[in-house]
Amino acid sequence: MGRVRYRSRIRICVDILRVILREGEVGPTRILYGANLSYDRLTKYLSYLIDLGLIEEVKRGDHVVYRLTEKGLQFLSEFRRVEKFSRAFGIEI
Amino acid sequence: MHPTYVMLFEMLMEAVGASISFLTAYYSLKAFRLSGRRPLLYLHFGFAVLGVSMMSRVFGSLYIISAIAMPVSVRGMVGLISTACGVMRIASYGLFAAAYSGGRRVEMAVLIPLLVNPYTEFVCVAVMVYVVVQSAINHAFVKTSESLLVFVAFLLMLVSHIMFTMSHVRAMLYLLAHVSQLTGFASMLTMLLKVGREVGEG
Repeated sequence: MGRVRYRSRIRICVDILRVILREGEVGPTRILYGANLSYDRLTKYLSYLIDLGLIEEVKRGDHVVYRLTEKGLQFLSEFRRVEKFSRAFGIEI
Repeated sequence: MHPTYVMLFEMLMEAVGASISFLTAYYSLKAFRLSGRRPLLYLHFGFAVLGVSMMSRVFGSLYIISAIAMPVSVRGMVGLISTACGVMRIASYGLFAAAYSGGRRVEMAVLIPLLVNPYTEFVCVAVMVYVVVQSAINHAFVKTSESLLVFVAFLLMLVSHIMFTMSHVRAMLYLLAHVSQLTGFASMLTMLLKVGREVGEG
């Protein structure tokens, strides 16, 4: 059986951000399934990303949705560059 | 060819290579700070040490040019510069090898330069063969243009070291070695520019 490869913290954040980018404005349930996280972990990461200014919380009636900020878009762009650079040397991040 | 022109050529080639090395070191550090992946730190130090080694040759060449005009023997200085730069190159290639091996053998990569004898070009070739093989394996798996450019860069650096080693047999190989090295760095720079041009969504 192969060794289980756990996602790093940065990888989980990027997965969440990519789900939000794909959907535009999205509620926590869609992020949960898209990023493959438990609810507890998701709420922690969402708070973390809001504190970093990468996403923002928006109230739509009774619901709460999340969307990327400009900073979040720039972060994803920068991460993509870093990912390509690292993969060129065989280093996965 | 007059020794002064040879040294000027050497200075130019090494200065260009050093600049690209430092740029790659900067990008590696940026990647490490974002991801925390240790092999990226080894890559950073590897390219930084390589850049320092090449800049040392630039300053050494400058000294030799200035000494040529004076009745001063530069043989000892040439030997010292050559050995020092060679040792630093081995250290930097050892760090590249450590980056590919996941950092398991980094202590040996740093110690090796202290243990070897002055025929540093042979050791550089040996370590670079490992680095080239690893980069080729990586390209076989990921199949991106960036990984191909990295493989080509390391391969050309290896070829340049082989030609430097043989340059005492044919002087032309010295020139070709520098061209090969410069082309290798150009390939690395192309990769950096390609990656840097990425815009849009992640």
